[in-house]
Amino acid sequence: MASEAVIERFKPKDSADGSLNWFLQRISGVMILPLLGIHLIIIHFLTENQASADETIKRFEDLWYVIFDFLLISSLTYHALNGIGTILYDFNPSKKNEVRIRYGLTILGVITVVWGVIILLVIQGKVD
Amino acid sequence: MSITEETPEITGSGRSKALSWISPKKNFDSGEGMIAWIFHRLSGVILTFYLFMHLTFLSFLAFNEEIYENLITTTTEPFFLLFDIALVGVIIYHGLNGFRVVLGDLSNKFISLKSQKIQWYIVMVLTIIGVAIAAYFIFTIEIYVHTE
Repeated sequence: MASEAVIERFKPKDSADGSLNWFLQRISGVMILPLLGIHLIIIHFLTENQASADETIKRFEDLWYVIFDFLLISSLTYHALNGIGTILYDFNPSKKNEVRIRYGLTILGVITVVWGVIILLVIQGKVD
Repeated sequence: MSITEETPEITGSGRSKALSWISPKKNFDSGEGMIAWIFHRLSGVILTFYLFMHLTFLSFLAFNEEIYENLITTTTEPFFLLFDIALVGVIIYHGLNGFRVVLGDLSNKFISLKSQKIQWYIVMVLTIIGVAIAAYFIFTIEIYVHTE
């Protein structure tokens, strides 16, 4: 059965972390496709003077836009840094360095998302 | 795993093992699967760099609007718009190829390698069409808006 083969594919095999990251990389990737598409349409087709500071701040009047941007930043950060991790692990680092890379990317990811949230809140605060 | 095509087995050890995936001769001899895999990684690295650059730009909007406006004026000049067009190409390729990989992972028993290659050519054609459309919009509408 097709569905059984698909379910089998998502069962963790030899590495719980690796399987989870593999799975979440695909979930975040599929999430990003519509989120980024909507982001680009809003900015490039639904806004007139799209890049100006005033127009950008105006978009933040709508709280849904802030929530939407938060989802986009979170999924992009996870997807990007997990992807970079995959490339770095291909350099066959020692176990110790692999742990360093994992923690380093996790910390960078948390800082990036917090940084993103601060930016969103500060810009939202500029709305008249 | 169906991602065999996307993550080819590389023999050797340590650094040479990892660096072997950027060897042009070896890779271009290995067919579309390897090229698709390399393009996916390179586009991913470019997009990660762009994500941080984008957040930096928005930081200026949050904390120093004058610098932000200056950056926007510079980056909407015709020369920089070429980078915008290239960025659209990188986004479309990475998105569509990623979607192709997910489809392959979900159904490798039902999608042959030959079909996956055809899908990759479709991705390339759609990317070129997307870049052409983006170039049209960027060089007609955006320049008009910013020089108005």
